[in-house]
Amino acid sequence: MKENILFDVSNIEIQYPFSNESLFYDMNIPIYKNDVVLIVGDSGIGKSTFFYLLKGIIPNYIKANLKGKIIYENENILQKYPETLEKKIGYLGQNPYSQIVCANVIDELVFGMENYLFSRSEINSLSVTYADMFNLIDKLEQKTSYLSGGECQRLNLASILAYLPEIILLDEPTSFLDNQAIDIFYSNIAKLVGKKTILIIEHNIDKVLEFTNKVLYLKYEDANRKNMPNMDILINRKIDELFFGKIKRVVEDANRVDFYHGEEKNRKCVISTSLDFLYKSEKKTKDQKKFLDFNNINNIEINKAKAEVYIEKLSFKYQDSKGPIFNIESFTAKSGQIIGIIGENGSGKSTLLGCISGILKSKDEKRDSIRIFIDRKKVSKFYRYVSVLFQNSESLFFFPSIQEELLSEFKKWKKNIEKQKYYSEFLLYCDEYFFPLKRYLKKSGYSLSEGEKRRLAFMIIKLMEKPIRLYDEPTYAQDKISIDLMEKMLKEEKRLNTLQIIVSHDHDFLYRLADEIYEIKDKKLIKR
Amino acid sequence: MKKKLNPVSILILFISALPLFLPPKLFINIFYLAALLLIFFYSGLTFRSFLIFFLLSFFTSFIYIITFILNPDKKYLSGNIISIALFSYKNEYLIKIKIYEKLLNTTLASGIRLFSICLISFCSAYLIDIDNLVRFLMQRKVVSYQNGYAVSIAFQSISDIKSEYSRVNYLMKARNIKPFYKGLLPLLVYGVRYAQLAAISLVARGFNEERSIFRKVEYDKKEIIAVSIISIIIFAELLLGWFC
Repeated sequence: MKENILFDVSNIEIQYPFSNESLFYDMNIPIYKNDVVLIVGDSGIGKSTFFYLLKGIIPNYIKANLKGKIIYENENILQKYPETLEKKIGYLGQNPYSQIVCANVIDELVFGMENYLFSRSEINSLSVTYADMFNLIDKLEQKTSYLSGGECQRLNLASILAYLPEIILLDEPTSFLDNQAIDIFYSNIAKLVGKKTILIIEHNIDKVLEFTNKVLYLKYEDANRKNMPNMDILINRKIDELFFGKIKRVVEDANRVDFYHGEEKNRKCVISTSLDFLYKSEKKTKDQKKFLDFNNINNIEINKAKAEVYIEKLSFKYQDSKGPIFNIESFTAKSGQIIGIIGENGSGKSTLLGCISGILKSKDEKRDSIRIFIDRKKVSKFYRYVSVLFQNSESLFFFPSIQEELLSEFKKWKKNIEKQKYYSEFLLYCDEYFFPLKRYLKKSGYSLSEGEKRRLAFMIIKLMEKPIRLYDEPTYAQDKISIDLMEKMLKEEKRLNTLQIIVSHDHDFLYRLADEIYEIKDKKLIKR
Repeated sequence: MKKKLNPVSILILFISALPLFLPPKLFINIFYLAALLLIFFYSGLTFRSFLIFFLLSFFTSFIYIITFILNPDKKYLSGNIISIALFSYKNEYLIKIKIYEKLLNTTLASGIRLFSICLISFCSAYLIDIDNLVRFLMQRKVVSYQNGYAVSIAFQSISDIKSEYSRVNYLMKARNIKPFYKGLLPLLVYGVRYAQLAAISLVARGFNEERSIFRKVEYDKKEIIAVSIISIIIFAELLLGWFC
């Protein structure tokens, strides 16, 4: 069995230059040839970093001090990365847009094959095979800049699989794919089982568990040492017990407080616009005067404004595209509703959110095809009433630290004690269950992992307190616990009379949450 | 689909446009400009786009001419003076200008040259397929693959950065963040992140200088015609001594 070991991983420690913290993987794990390994764990625990190590991106291209061993063919690849291994590993990163390096789809698809000196005939046949597999045949001559997130993801996957790597590293490969594309993708991956070694980081584990033979579960062994993830090897039978058991525990714990209204009698909160309460709340006795009881805060009305969105005969066309991306006859949404929007990759879901927010304006757009009413008064400056969580969470970060980021929103309630109480409690709740705020307060939002950035952006959207909120793939890069908590918070917003429109490929999430679900199909918006 | 001028033609056009950048002379080669425009139209320049570029170039050169005349260098203020009268009404001219002949000649020559440079630049920029051009140069080893892909990725990032700018701008207004320069941070980070992820993507797919070529950028009929026309004109001009 030992000769079949591909990678022998033992106790790795990473420290980036200019960083005081180091990441330590406390583990001794063999990965065998043709293993299919699912890697799960909390967002930001270092799953993607582990892939960077296997692919040699760290330390060859991103410098870091490394200790420990990853043995491949009797060599420690952390010391010297073998050139032969580079070709054998195909790596798919998280962000689908930024991985595109060519202007045309066909050039992107064949890029890896060209690098590994495939012949023209080989490239020709393989490109057709993989374009067909990922439904890209019609798009081969298109510009990559016109592709949607899902289409980019499919193209990246096709491009990597086309050069036939022996080891495939997939970092959240299906996060931007629609359900049909996910099924096709995993049915194709299932065909490779027994032929290739596959490592997958995936939060949507149900689809992957069917054909994985090993699950690596990264968790913090010691809650006080958050920079020490511990990696366990689990067999499928224990997954439910350990992984889902943890989710259940955390979510039940989060329920205990019945959300962040301070229903728990002895919960206290400080009134402050400096965010000091995040620390001071731990020293209640010393600073007793600064804390207020949190009784009866349940009655607070956060969003008093009644919002309505009307769409009539909206069509949108990108410059240089042949026809309109969609033609929407009519659509209405009102305060207190959660509207889900689904559709295939490239059907125009994000474009629709762009139109509703007012960011995208087509030349062909009929005047006043989107109307927003706040308290029955028609408004023109949509940005005053609409907040948007874009696919790229970083668009929302403007300050060098998370503390400043939150404070810029928090300061607007200087004279409103009720709201200060409510949002202080909200941040304390988030810190406990959703996002380690105390730990990251001085850090920059840009330095977080994809999942953490998403959650921070989600929190800022809440603090922006707009009556209309648009979310584009909110569950991207989120683990089950975070998705469950996000769901709770969105339901809470519904109770507070906020209008929320959510675009997501996570249909289960939308069906649990949304009052109405619309699908963009054949360029039309159809109610499901 | 819009036809694109192929890379070689573009290179030839730029090289052949060099005479236009030489020191100003009144005489401008009409045939030369006409030949270039013919090639542009043949390559897919629409009349509407041409009209826009023409007007833009015209107004640019017009303002340049007026500025030059009203604020002349002293060295042009000598020699013959000529009178120019414009717009007659009941046998009276509304505009009468007296101007040194030397100044007029120099100004018109520079103005027309500026007009030609603007027009050719606008038309070329509209027609150039940067990716195709870079690909052509990389495949002929004129530019290394490393530099070529860096240029190509940088050009692709323009549209992405443009959309990111509109998102950042929107969220700045929505979050009431002032002053405007605070929006530079997310844009800067976006640019760095874009470059970093693109570089990782290149590395992850085994990017190197030794590679096979699947889609070779080749010459075609159109290019040969363009190159021939320009070569004949330049050759004829050289023979006739028009460049001297």
